[in-house]
Amino acid sequence: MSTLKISCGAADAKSGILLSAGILAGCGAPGADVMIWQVAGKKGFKYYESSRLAAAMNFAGAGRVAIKGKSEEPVVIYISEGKAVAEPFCGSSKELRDYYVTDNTVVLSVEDCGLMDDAGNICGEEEIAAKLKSMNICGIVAEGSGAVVPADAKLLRKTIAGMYEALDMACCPEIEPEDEVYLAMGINPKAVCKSRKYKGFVKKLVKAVSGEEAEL
Amino acid sequence: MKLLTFDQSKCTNCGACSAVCSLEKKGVVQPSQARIHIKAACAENGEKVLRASVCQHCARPVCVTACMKGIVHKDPETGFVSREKEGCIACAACAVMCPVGAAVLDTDANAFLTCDLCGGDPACVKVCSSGALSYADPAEASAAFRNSYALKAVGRGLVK
Repeated sequence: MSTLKISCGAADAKSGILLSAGILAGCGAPGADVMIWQVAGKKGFKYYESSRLAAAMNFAGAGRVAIKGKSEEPVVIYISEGKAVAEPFCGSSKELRDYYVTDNTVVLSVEDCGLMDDAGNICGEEEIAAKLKSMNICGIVAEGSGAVVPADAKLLRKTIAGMYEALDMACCPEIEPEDEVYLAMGINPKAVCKSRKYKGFVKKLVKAVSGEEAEL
Repeated sequence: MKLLTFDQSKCTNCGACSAVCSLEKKGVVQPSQARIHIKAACAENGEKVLRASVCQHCARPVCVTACMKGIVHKDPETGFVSREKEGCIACAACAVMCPVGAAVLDTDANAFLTCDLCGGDPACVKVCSSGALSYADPAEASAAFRNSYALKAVGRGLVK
């Protein structure tokens, strides 16, 4: 019997998985495409991975999706128009991509080695893939044809242009513990080198997207 | 006339160009409504290639002849292809005929629109961190591309 339960907008996912896109994911700023996985375990642990899925989830109007339980048959979690549903899918990863990939979708397939997006990037480790497999989930698809509506479009435009102009865009491989606050907002600090200006830019991004003042 | 040029070897498919284009044109971040899209395609040799779907302001634009309402125009002096939002009946003739798939249906205006180069200051170029997009004279861009290809070919030992 299938015990799989999917809900949008949940705050936590005990004994399950919470797919969470930061508020800045998809806003157009450098590195703003971070997917944050939270996997509840006995000790409670988290994963931080990067993929375009977070941006697509925000464009699909479902920034948070909690998944619990186990499906009887292989399913794909399909996120679109503010909803997330389980669709039965039996096929290979290639068939999954062939079936679901469009101009507006991001497809993650669950592989033995981890999670792979439709661009061929590995964006999840073996452990998270094993967890999804144990729930009989063979893929996650987000159809993002909607929009992220910023509180202040003018400020967002200016801030993004300023970030690209001012920041060194070379990759910085190290993620430090304090970076997790950026990850939680949907900004991947790996994508931008550390800079004194960075914190100021992210504050402006939060203000432009949400209209709220951020304390960093 | 300067145009948007795209070097697929530099593109990381980060999506910033589409995000910022929609922000510039519609005030929201909605890549599906952007007037530039980077699309992945499969080359004949099986390699994945990236292509930019953006108006090329063709020398002989098929969209101009395809439009039954006569609202797509090519400036004979500058070569700039423009279109009127009003009057478009969204028949998609221009989108079907366009060889690069540059016409995008604006769902708010219910009209097909293409890149207008942001009046000569394209927002997408400003945010292209990898330098894949540039706003340059096509002849200069072509020469630069040929040079870079030749250098790569020499590096690979393809040219002796």
